[in-house]
Amino acid sequence: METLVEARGLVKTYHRKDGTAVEAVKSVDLDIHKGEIFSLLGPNGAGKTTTISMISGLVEPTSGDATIGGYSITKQPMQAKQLMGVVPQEIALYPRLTAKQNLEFFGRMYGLGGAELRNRIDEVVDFIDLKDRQNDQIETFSGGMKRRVNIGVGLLHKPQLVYMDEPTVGIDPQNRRRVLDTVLRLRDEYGMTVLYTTHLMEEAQELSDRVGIIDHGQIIALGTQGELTQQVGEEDRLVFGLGEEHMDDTLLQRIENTVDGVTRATFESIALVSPVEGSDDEIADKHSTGTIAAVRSGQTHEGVLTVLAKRGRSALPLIVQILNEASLEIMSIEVREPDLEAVFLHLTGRALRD
Amino acid sequence: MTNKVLFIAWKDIRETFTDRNLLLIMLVTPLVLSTIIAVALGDVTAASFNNIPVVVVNLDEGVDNLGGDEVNYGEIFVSTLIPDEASGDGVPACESDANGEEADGPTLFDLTDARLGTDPVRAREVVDDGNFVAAIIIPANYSEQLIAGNGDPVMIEVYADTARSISAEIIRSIAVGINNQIITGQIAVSSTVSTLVASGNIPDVDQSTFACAFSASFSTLGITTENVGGTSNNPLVMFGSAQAAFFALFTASGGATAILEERRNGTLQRLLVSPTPRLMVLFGKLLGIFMTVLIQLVFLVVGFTFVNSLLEGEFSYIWGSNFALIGLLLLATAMSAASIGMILAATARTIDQSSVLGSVVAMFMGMFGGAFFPVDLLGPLEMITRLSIVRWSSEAFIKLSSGQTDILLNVAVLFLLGIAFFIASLMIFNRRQDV
Repeated sequence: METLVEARGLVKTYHRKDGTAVEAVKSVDLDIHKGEIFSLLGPNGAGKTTTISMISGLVEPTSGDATIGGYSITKQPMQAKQLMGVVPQEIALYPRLTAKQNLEFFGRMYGLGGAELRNRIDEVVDFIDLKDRQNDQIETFSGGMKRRVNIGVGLLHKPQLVYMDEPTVGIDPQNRRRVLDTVLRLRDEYGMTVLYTTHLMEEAQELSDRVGIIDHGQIIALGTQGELTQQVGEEDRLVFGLGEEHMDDTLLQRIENTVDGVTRATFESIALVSPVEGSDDEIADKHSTGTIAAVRSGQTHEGVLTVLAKRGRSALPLIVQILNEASLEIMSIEVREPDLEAVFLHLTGRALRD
Repeated sequence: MTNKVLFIAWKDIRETFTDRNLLLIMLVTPLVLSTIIAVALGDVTAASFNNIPVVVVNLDEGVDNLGGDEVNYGEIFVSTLIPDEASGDGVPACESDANGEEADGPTLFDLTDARLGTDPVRAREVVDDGNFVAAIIIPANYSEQLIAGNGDPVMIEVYADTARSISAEIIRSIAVGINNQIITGQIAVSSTVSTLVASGNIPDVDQSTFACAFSASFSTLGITTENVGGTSNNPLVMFGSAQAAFFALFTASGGATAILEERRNGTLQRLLVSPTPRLMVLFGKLLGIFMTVLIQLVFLVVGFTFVNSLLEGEFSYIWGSNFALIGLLLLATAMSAASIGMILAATARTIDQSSVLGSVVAMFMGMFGGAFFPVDLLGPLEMITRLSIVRWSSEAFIKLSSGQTDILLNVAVLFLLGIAFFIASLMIFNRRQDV
């Protein structure tokens, strides 16, 4: 697969006023392939933005270099920047100018002009679905519309690489969905390469062909989602709801010993709280007389079998067969594959949102 | 690449001129404010140019004329400024007109408070001390030069306090006028002062009393009088030019602060990740600020002309007729204001800092540049005003309005400051990783 972005040994060191050095990014190596969506995932302050700022030429690396389409960002920055479109996290637009004027201005900064610029503006306002509002000032737009123009500006010059910095921060679910669909369209319809930074694991999982996980200024894992979960040896979690059934240890040992890939099987009986029924007056009355306590004491239990397995889906039929043979009624089955959150947790000992 | 500079500048100009509130502050406020100040303080400014202290030292040894009589033109010169020296009656010749009646309004003798000195060194010292605005030193061969009439310039020395430039300029003009009058026997003084009056540099002078001052002393030279025309003393020129430069500083400071706002909004970063060199972005920004300030200054210069015409009841052009120099001065003022805005934004860490710094600097320069009161009122402190580009600009405008053209020093200072501050701001911006 052809590589579009290559980063080698990128380091960024800042110096505090007291003279102490802070390494925001410590020797990042990165390859991004043409036509893929690559997500750089990490908690706030992990070094995502600094890494991308160096790759985009906004911040000069302390050491190391990156190339875009073969052009060095430190030695041939203008050529490298020409291949890249940037969609920053904030709405980086001029509020008193119209959407069209914003597009026109930034288009000119990428060397577009004349009929080419006009055509591209038409295409972009179509793409972001703002044809009717293109002559309105940005300050009159809703947040979602501004976000769309913000993306449109980054696409105007048909860049090979689109860098999107947490573009869904602070927007409602509907507009978030729209942004995510746009990202997918850029790859699928226009063959663009997308470098996407986020701290939201779900977004990275949904969008990415490959993911780089960054923490404390270092890439700690890089690959497809499957590769990452395999790298860390995380297991699938199979959860069986068994109603009011009960399991003994013999059955659990049988599952562990006979089903290939299973490392552990546990059973617990979980207490269920019955709902309090009745009108508001009746509930108030029950409170006053202590009847609610009595209702709570009438709890039922549900048995839950949890099995950890390397290849959960392969193990599933045999476990179901064992449970059937033991005459246990299966109320529900859930297969939980290890996700990026689990990978991050495994690698750092911290949750992604910590 | 050059196109990108122009696009950045054009974008900034378009943004500025679509902001109605900003336009109100940039264009309407200085017009209104200057008019109010000019109308309210008009009398004060007129009074401020009365009784300008000047010391006259006559070293002229005189010559024998063709008839064998001794002629001392230096004494004639002195008597023009100090009537006691001429008539010996102790009555200032110009306090009565040709009919012996009291003249209305200020006269040449009201304008100056001339004292006779004997030692040129001491005369210069008293000017240096700030006690006198100027010393007029008539050389020993003054009469000889005049009689020779070989076409060489007849020199007299006017040693002036540059810190009190307007008053000094008036004295210089009067001295030149008297000198010319003696040389030509014509009414050059009248026209010189006429220009000064028209420019608003000296108060309205009653034509007959002014003529009286010369007719009494120069009858032997065949002096004729003519009407002293022109408008009244015009504080709108003085305050208008200073207010224009003062508000230009505000505009420039605001424009440069917009660079920091662009950094906060992310548009600056967006520009910097495009294939546009950082230097181009900064040049574009400077050009945008410069053009905005220039448009503002042109609007105000034209606006003050119309305001003055409205006040006068007839169209009157108040800035002189040397349009090339007016244009040059506008460019220089815009350049220096824009660069000061840039250096302030470059050194400030935050938008708030930049705004406060911009306001403080503009207020200082406005206050000590004559935007609120005549700088001559500052007396010895007037030297401080040289720190203000408002002063350099306003002074040049005042000179141009009086028909003088020696504003090259002012223009040079403004341009040099502009270039120096811009280079400094470029270096600082370039060093800053965050901009």
